[in-house]
Amino acid sequence: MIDEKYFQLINEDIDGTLEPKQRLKLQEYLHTHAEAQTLYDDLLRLSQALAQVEKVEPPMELKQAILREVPAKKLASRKDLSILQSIIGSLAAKVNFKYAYSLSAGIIIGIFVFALVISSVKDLPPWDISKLAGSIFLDSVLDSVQIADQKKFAIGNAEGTVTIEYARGAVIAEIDLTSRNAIEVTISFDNQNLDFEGMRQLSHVPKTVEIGESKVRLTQTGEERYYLYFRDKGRNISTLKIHVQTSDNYWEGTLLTRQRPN
Amino acid sequence: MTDKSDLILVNECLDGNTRAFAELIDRYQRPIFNLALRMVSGYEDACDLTQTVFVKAYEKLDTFNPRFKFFSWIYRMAVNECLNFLKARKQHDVLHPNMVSAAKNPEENYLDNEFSKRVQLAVGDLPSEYKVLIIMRHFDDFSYQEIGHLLRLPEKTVKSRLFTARRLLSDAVRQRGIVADDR
Repeated sequence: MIDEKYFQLINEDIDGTLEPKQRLKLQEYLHTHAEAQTLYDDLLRLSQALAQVEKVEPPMELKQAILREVPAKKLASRKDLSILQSIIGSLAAKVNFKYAYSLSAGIIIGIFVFALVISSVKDLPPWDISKLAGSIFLDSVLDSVQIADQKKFAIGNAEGTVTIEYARGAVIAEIDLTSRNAIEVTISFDNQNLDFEGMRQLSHVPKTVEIGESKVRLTQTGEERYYLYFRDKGRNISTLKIHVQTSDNYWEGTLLTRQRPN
Repeated sequence: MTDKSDLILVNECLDGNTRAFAELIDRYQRPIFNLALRMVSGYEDACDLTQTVFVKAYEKLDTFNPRFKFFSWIYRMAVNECLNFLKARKQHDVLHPNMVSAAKNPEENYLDNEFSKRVQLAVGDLPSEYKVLIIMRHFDDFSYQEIGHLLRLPEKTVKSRLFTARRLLSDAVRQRGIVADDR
């Protein structure tokens, strides 16, 4: 029977994470315990054999197979595309290696998705798109994202996390929300220091969105993540104030848009 | 000229540039394919899984959090996809012959390669939760901490499961008479 403690040391030695002092202790133990020495030898040999396993090159056609699939998939998820594009996308998509029936299933699903899109377009909320113009994601900017501030909240049936990220002149407020009932979220910002550029959400369009000079307000239910994009005018460290209102309670937090210098 | 960072490529994809996605495929299809191959032990299934993972990644690109590495994100997606696949399949296949690559010097390394091949077969027979740890640690060289992050497990649990996985693997190899044969 191998002592559990030494079993751990054997494994750590195999992983190369054992300190010299412990290694010495292990070697002493192995000299006097044949079973442990056998296990050590087996594990070492296994480890060496696993390390020798060479990577297998994926088939040449795999990349093209993926690329044939992706434009159609992405197009299908956008609500504002024409039916023609969706159908062409579905037809252009390559079927999986094994499942030849997926093409016909895809066409049926495409028609179904289109029917859903048509029915949901009528229900879209009245967005104020005038404030959404401009570049939301700049290639060079998001290369150096840093977390500036983060706060968590939990009130009644609602909880969430607000994270402020900063990257060379861009401020991103990432708001994760989970709420069983409808909640109203108001994000207030100092428009002297920040320009609101736009927002996006992961899956559902919020029930209502209002965009003002220095405020964004939305109502939502369920689980969702929102990203609000601001341009930092670079004068001073600014703050964002988040107010979450449930039917009988509220939470308010103020978050910095940049880390304070030490 | 320096290579574009993954984050820049992700942003270009979000702007509808599929060539940027092609670059991400070039960078990561090999590790993802190899992970799938080790996990599901079938060449065609590994192709399908790799394709599925990249397509899903593309669809979910706007959920990618730039605080994390793109590779960690897609690797985790691949692990989940493989685990779901194995759960659905609920049976063990044998390794595809293409999986084990040919030895560079077959005569000199015959025994070692034969042993390595057999060890891989034993890895394929491990329960999924142990197999994934052997693959991540030994094939993909992730640290305990990285494995913990990717599998959402405490580091302590990673270590204990990995050590159990090795013991199971050693037992499996021993039962097959592999160790005895090669000694």
